[in-house]
Amino acid sequence: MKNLLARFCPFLILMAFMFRAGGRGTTPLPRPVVMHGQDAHAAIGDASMQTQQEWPSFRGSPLNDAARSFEVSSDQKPAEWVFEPSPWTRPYRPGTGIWSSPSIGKVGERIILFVGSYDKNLYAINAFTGRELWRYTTGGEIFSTPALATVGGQPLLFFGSAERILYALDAETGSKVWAYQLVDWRYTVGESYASSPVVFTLDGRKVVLFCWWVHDASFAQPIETAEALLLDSADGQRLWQQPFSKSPPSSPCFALIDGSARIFVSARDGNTYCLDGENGQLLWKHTSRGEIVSSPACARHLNPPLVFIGSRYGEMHALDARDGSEVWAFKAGHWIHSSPAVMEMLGESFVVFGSHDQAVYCLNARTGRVRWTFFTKGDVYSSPAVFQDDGKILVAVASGDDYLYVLDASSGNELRRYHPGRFLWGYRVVGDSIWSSPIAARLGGQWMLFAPFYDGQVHAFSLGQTSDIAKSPTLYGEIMLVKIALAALGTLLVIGLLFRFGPR
Amino acid sequence: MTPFVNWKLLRRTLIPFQESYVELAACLAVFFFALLCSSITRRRQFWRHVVQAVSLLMFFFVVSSCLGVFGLIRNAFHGASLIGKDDLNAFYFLSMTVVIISVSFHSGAVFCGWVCPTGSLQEVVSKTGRLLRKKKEHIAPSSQISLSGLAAVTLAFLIVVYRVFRSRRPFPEDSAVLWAISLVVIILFAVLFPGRERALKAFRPISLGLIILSILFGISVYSPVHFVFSNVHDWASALSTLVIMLSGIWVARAWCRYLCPFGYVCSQLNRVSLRRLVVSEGCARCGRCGEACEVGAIEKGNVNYGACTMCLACADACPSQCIRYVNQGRDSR
Repeated sequence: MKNLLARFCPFLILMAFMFRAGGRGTTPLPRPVVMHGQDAHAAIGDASMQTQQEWPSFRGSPLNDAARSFEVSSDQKPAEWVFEPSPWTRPYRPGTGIWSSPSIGKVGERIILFVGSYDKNLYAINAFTGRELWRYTTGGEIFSTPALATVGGQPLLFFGSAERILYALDAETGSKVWAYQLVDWRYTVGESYASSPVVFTLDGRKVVLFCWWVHDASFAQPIETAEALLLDSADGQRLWQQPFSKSPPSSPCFALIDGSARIFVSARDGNTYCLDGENGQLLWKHTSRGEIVSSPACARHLNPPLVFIGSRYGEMHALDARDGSEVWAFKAGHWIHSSPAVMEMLGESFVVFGSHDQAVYCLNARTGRVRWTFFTKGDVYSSPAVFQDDGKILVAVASGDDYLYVLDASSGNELRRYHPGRFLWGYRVVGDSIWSSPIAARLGGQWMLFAPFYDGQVHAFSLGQTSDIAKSPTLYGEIMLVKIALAALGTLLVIGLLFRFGPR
Repeated sequence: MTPFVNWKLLRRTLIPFQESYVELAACLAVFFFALLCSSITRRRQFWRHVVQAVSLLMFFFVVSSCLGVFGLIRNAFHGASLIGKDDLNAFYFLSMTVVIISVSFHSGAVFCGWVCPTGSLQEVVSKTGRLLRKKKEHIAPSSQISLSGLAAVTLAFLIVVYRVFRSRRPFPEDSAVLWAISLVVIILFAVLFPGRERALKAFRPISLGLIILSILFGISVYSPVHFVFSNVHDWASALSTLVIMLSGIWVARAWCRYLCPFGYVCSQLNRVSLRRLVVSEGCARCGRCGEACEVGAIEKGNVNYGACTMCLACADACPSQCIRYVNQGRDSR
């Protein structure tokens, strides 16, 4: 009997596990419920998908440039500020974040920065002063970048919370307009992962697309599903819902390709999906060789139109947006968590992104050839923000060495660096969490960088004068030798103990 | 930019993600091949080397996921934490560890002796070293030439580390270098004090404990062979892989003997596995088995199951065929 057990048990466990892995996700979800929508606004057809006043997607546009320029009537100059919501800190757990990536927009006469937090609040902060305007408390952590769009003349803010609810708030007052519950609550259902929404115009009405993932560990009805959900932005009515994966998705990117609405979204299962914006049908799928954490960018002005996506295999892929075929792939030295940004410079298109190999890369978007590489001293987890100041294109990116860098986009030279702070908790598992990325905004003629940082605070830095910084000498070689000496000493100590007390 | 090229032959996916279990299937095929060949008694060592060669080629050119000895343990913990949440990724991260443990329950540490590419690389170097020395000992004698060579390799390693690392910040991957230097120190003592082999082998449970602690406390500790088999283009992994290979010149399979935590887990299962080594009563204590064993797990017919890699070299070297690899379940009937 013992031998039979020894022979078959491991294989039975493996087979049961394979069966479990293959058999999930077919159980239909509980019917979604539209919760008491406040005023249902008439949908209007805004001709442009975005304006400078809006922030329709994760990084503000399909190019992921994460920058806005606002004209301000008053003479007010923005101040540098630090925003800290509360003095208490929640305990660290693997995979947690602190802030969502922020969004910024003009609401009425005010420029407001919106940012979600692990303390379950969505904050609206005056971008000039750093003063909190309002906050909206949900039942779960908010890591979804709020999308801002004007619907029926009313500025609305869309985001998802880990409590499995999607929200639309009045961006001016913070009052709820509607909420959409993804799945009914059960004892076994886990927190949801809600991506940053994308707002676009479809058939003359403004719609909002969420990609979300939820799991239910119920033995009888296990659920693991990632779905795309299109809602009417005015009243939260569901237009279509389409499952496409079983793993947590990235934030979607919307673009019109050959006149057709296309949604590009990746998932941890290593796939990049292209869905039809009209009905959510899968058009094509590209499989990478590793998990995908970063969100795609789409450069539809190129021929062929390209979708860029980085993987945890360390590859940056350029895919033909029409059929998903790979145009080129570039292998970085380590994982790519950073979502790529596309920029136009010197008559060419370039794609900028960071990698956990500590470098920021700038590649030619058509060929994948490296234009420059900038090495930081930590994992470049953040997505870059690209903006133009005084004719010079700049790239802002945060790194795991606790610095926020501003680089010259043409040469990759460092122009400025900021030190927002140190990690909130005692230690950090590199690559475990997705930290928020900075954005840039021009307020009253002055470029500002807004960086919700892993020190638990939101920082606003003024760009000021930028000039090339000479590289300072480092002692990393010496530090490594000291570490090696310590490791050798530790080994000697253990050998001594083993020789004294160990087996003979 | 990374100075290394991508040597993986197949650009398209081979990861065991959705709709593609090719990588896992390839690994399972190698295991099946190894189990099949281990049942052959005629020219078994030749077939073992064939399996090792196939395994090396597969791991080098095909497999892309993290199959480092630490990665297997870390992945298993991570995969277990995903069960019920993200079963696809849980399967991906757990699959290889579950397969190796299952095979070890059935056939002992066959993974170490037949499949493990790190072990195979060390074996190639150690066999070459013995050919150059023209001696059969698996641990080099503590001669002046031997110690000078070890000192030269260590010095070269430190100089390269300094030159490479002075332009970059220490990074979690760099922990591979620290394991490499620990191995160098252990080899020095193994050469100087060959009689304290058993004490030095007690490093393996300590190594396993360190890995589990690092996982529990969320500290990233990377295995030295990341570079070759996981396609992580990193100097730290590359240098430490080189040190581990070169260590075979002084001590055969030094990494497997003294530091490999996963090897420790597999070899512990030798005691309860269905197929295991059995020494019958007719053993003449000639010592041939000890000469054949790469890891010093057998001496004059006394098997140390906790160190055995189940390469079966002892069984094939035994002139009286007293050492047999038997199926306990079948032979007990």
